[in-house]
Amino acid sequence: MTVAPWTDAGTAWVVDTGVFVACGRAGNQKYAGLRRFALDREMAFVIPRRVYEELGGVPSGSTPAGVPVAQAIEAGWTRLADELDYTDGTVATVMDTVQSVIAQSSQRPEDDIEKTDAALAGVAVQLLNRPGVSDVCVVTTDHDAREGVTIALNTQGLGGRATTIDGFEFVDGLF
Amino acid sequence: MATSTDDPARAVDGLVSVARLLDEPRLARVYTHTLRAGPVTVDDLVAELDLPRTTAYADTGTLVDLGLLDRDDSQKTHRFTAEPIHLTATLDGDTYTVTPTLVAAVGQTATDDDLELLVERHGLGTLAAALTYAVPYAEGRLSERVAARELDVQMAFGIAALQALRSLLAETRAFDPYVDEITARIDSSGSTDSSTEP
Repeated sequence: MTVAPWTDAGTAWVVDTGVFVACGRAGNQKYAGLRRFALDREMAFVIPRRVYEELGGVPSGSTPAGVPVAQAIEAGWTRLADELDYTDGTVATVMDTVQSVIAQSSQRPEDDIEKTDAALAGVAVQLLNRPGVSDVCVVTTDHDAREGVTIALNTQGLGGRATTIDGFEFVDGLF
Repeated sequence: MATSTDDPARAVDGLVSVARLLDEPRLARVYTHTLRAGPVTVDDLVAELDLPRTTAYADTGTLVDLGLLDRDDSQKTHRFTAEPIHLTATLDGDTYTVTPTLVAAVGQTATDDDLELLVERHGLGTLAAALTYAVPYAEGRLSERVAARELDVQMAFGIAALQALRSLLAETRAFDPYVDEITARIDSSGSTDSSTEP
């Protein structure tokens, strides 16, 4: 199989909002580490569109206001995920599962759960459907989102092609 | 502060003292460092908090007057210690217990852009409420976005504030014996009450 050029030898990396925020809070060298992580592997991180939207419109002076995600996209080491296709049954199902898992663990109605958490799983499925993508790695600082994505993909038989990573540990390991 | 005796005057004086501490991040930093590392000297505070010596003298004097620091003047170099604050305020049914972690968070606003902005834009009450969500979030009992949404601030900014408090809690657990009293009551109906446990 020819691997997609923006993947890490076939592995697509999906990154959540909190990872960018955690990089910013840890100091500018972590952004450099994040960029280097992508460049060393000649790949681009994929972010759901909702993540991109969350990182916009932040109050100036806050950490996320300094997150250069637009520049990262322009520079090519981060890319926006495709629009989510809700007519794809697997995409819709994994998103529902993530919302359900988070609603249960946080004791909230499912309607109150942010769609961005669910989008991580939806984007992961869409990436797995693309030619040249063998597996997917989702990095998030949200404990419940990570659990939800893991369960949702396992339930669809995709667990063997998906890994979830604790975003704080990932950022700690950047240099 | 010592454990309670039947002394209403002391309770009111304590309330006023803690209010002052919550209003002045520099005093909050001096109190927090003394609680964490005490007994400390003025030299220690100057070195650790990067304070001018005159400021460190003035602040320790203020905090002793407020009853928040104890001064041991039995030796030539005075040493300061602090006891963990535990102050429960109830107003028309809304309850909050101030513990050293909230004081530490106020102190952190002097050096953390996100916490400074949170208080500047939304007030001390929002910082205190954020802490009640940060505790279950840091323990993995509340989703990052669910917690951030409760703060009613821009999502990524809310996540940044929660991550700041998560780091803070990792430190304050060592010297705040009341940290477990700071937690949002999460019930199965989906509503959350950010008052602390009574």
